[in-house]
Amino acid sequence: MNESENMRAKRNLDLVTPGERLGVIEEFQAGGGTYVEKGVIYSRALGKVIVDLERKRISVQPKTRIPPLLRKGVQILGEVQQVQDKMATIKVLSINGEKLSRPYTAVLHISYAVRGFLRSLYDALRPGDLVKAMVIGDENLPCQLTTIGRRLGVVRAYCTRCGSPLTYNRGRKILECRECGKTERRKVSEDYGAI
Amino acid sequence: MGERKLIDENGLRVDGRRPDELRPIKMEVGLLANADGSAYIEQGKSKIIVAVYGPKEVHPKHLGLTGRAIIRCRYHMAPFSTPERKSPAPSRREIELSKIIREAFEPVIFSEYYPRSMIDIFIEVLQSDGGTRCAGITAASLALADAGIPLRDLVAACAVGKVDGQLVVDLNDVEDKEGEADMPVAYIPALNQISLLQMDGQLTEEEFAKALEMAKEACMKIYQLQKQTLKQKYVEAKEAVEKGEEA
Repeated sequence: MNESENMRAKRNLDLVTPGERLGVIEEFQAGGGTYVEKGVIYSRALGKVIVDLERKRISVQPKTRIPPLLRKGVQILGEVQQVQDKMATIKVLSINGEKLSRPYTAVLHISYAVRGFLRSLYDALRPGDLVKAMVIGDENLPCQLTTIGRRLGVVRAYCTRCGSPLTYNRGRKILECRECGKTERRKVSEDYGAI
Repeated sequence: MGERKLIDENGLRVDGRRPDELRPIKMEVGLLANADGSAYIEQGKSKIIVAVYGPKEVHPKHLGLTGRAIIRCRYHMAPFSTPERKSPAPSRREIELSKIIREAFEPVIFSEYYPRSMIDIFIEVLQSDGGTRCAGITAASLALADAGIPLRDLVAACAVGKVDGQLVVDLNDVEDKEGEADMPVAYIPALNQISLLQMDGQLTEEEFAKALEMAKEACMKIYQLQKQTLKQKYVEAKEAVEKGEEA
């Protein structure tokens, strides 16, 4: 290896690969896309070096995709797969707006579906609905979700009798089917119909 | 089998290489549209394609770990990759290589960043002429970097062996089979660590030490090529975007 090239501090916007030496901890703080090993800062991604001389921080902005992760606090969009009285399984399709190439599975417990009392989770969700939810627990497998919040809940639902999309009647706070006239209950998000 | 000279009077090997010379290497990244990361390598006559999928949900679920991602690796030789047809079922050798290749990557992947997930590495040997486990590791590093999986470093691998009493790097199939020893090494340059070391045949202590040095040197040459290949992809992508903007 060309030792001198590897040892010199990286310049702003240099393209680096994982394992390339960026500098030492005496001169910079290690930012995103980097790691520290024995006082030396290395890149952990393939990307562009960003040197922030004001904050004395060096980071790497990845040029590749950043694999999304179900982490506590992230908002997801998912499809309800299965509903039982106390628990629903949700297929996560996107994380913080980023579409997943392969879905993850997460669960929603009845106690985290709505703020008040709910007799059955069927009154909040039905299989096939699209829901916006937030991850509240990532310590266990699978991740736990919540739909408590004004913008969280069902964003698209289908009639359980005829399968047509339901429309939200904001005055009556109820979902109506324009095809067969059936009315249904869900834990509806403020963003219902926007997705 | 009749005795065959593997090194001629000029000190050149069966394919005309010097003892410390690598075979011609060609690498490519991002060639599979449906994989999260992919790479292709041609090292002499060995041709290998690698696909990386993930981090993704763990199946079967009981294998999932809450603290880190699990890594799975499948090294497989295509039935048409060898002179004689190979059964497509995973052989004892392939199962072993899958395990050691996975272990070669465990020290470099930041698996703790992706708990409850799984990273799949598929190494498919399309044409085999010796050194496929090393070329597979080299290509898998590129595919992992292409998939955006955080890595401590790229892993470069190369074999060193002994033929006709002389140490040579990057053995081909004939040297591997008829030589006296073969030692594949995978090296992590940034950490100065060896993540794979196997040996067939016999080497003296001095020969072993020298062989290890030669392997590291060869790995460094491969490492430079890996870095170039990865950077090249993004330089090309940038040029394509700029051209598109001009048009």
